[in-house]
Amino acid sequence: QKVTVEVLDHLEHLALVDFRDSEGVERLQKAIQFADQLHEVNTDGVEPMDSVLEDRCLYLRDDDVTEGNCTRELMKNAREKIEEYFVAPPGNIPLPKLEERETFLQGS
Amino acid sequence: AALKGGMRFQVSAALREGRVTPTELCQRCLSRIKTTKFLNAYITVAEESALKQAEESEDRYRRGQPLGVLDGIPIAVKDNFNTAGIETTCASNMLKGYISPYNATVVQKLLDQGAVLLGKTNLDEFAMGSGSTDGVFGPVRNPWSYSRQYKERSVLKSHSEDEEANWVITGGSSGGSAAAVSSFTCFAALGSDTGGSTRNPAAHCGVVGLKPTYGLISRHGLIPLVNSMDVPGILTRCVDDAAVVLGSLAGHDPKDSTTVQDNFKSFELPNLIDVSKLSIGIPKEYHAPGLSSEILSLWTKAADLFKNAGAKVMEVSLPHTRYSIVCYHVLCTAEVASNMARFDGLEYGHRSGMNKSTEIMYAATRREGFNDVVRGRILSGNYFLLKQNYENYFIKAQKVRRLIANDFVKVFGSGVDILLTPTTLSDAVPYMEFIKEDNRTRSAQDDILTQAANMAGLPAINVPTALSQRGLPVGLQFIGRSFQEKQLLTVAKWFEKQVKFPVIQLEVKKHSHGVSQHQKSASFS
Repeated sequence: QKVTVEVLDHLEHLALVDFRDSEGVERLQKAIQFADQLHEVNTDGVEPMDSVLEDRCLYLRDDDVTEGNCTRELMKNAREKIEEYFVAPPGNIPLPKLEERETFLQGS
Repeated sequence: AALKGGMRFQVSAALREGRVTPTELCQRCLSRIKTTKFLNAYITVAEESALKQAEESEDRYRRGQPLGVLDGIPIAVKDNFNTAGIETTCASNMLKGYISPYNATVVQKLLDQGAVLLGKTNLDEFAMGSGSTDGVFGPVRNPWSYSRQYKERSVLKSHSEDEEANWVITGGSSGGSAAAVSSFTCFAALGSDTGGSTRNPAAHCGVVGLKPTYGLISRHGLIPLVNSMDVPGILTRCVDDAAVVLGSLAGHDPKDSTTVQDNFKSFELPNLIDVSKLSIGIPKEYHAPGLSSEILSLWTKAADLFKNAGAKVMEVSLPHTRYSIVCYHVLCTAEVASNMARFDGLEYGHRSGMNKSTEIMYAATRREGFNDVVRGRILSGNYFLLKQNYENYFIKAQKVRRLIANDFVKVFGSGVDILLTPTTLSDAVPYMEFIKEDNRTRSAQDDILTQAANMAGLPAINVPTALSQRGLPVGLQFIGRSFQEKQLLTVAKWFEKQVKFPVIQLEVKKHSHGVSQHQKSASFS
């Protein structure tokens, strides 16, 4: 089963990473094929495992502030900033639709 | 000779007795880094700060107050650990120029013990790969490519020309760290291990590579790949040194909630070891397709060694072994899809100039910052996490993970103390051959023997065993029970003593200053 262009487009939106070319799509196809081997294993009655430490309790600590005040240090690595704000371009504008943006997927 | 010996008994003693000073040691290592530059093991060399640390150490020795065995010992750290004031790139364009504002806990612990941080080592981009060939700073060369042992056994037509074509990979993704230790530029290095990334290059470079139990050592400051499997790895030239480094790193860290709160007691390994009461398991599934006959033979000889020493050696079965790689592939890409989401250009790292909207800026930043391997894994991961695929792929993989972990529980529960397996399928291949296959195929092939230990969170160690017919290192792997590093390292030390792995006879090019001193130390055995 080949992955549809709709799904590929959807993935590009979710991941905010593009396929760049047919090799990228091929790579995904092969990855899926590879993963399909999992279905050979019988997992009836088996619980999914999140962590090897599942038998231990996650511990809590006291709600006391023990560190911080490092705004200046943290801002050093940002490219665009104003005072203590990170500057982002306007949000709530979705990526252009498939037909309207430059992506190799258009040709498929 | 000082550069050659292990930490525990030789260099540390030399420092304490004043036979060599920390600054001399640091200078020698820095100089050696320069003469072995062609290996491309280091991304950043922190010369100034290293010398300063060495001076402070020297001061402590002069006052008779060294902090411990590690005081003044030069070390290197893989470039996916945050190091305050020093660039941390993960060998990616995404983090070029990123100066960490803090030290990873493991780095801080080493510095607190007086270790001298020489620099950051090269890796596959974001630790994704098994060759240390896919980073933006280029591939790392295995120091053994330039050893007399390798050169003697390879059929070379013209010396310099084929040397260029013949050099072999270090394995990965902690190849820079393995090469740094193997070529005597430092005494220990930190790597990371998610699927075998510390043990694989350790095997190819002829050094000890320890993957500790998940939850023993803090991951705070280690840029994450797979949160449920990543561990910091330790690379050294002998097992005793690995125990020393482990002792300084292990233990609960309040900054990493996945570190266990058990009391960890650092230990010294005994000198006289009796393996006759041990039960060694040989998992038959590790006789994987593609395993070279040389390694199979070494594995058998090793089992015999234990048998002859009185240990109980028996074949065991880990039936889900062959699904470990597939399971890893799904869980890893899924976690990567999540972990790489933080790289959006806003707070740190590369930022694209495209700024019509946040989404366009994010997409362009990630397109420009990540290489194909990283982008490929992000896309695959997102695919497996789609609503329609979640149950069939992600949850399915988590179930298979439990089956794999249970295989080990059953075997260790049946009286087996330690498992003995090969670490890699073959010795290191030439770079030109390695790049013929893509990253995912290579990783799937190369991680097959190391990956399951990460699935189950178990401690595992590569011990250099012998040279292959091509004159390259081959290692064997021991896998132990959770949090039983002392037993694991004791067995590893015994084995190391039996096999007496040869010292590399590194031939560094003759145009470097002070070469005779280096060559002497390289071939002094």
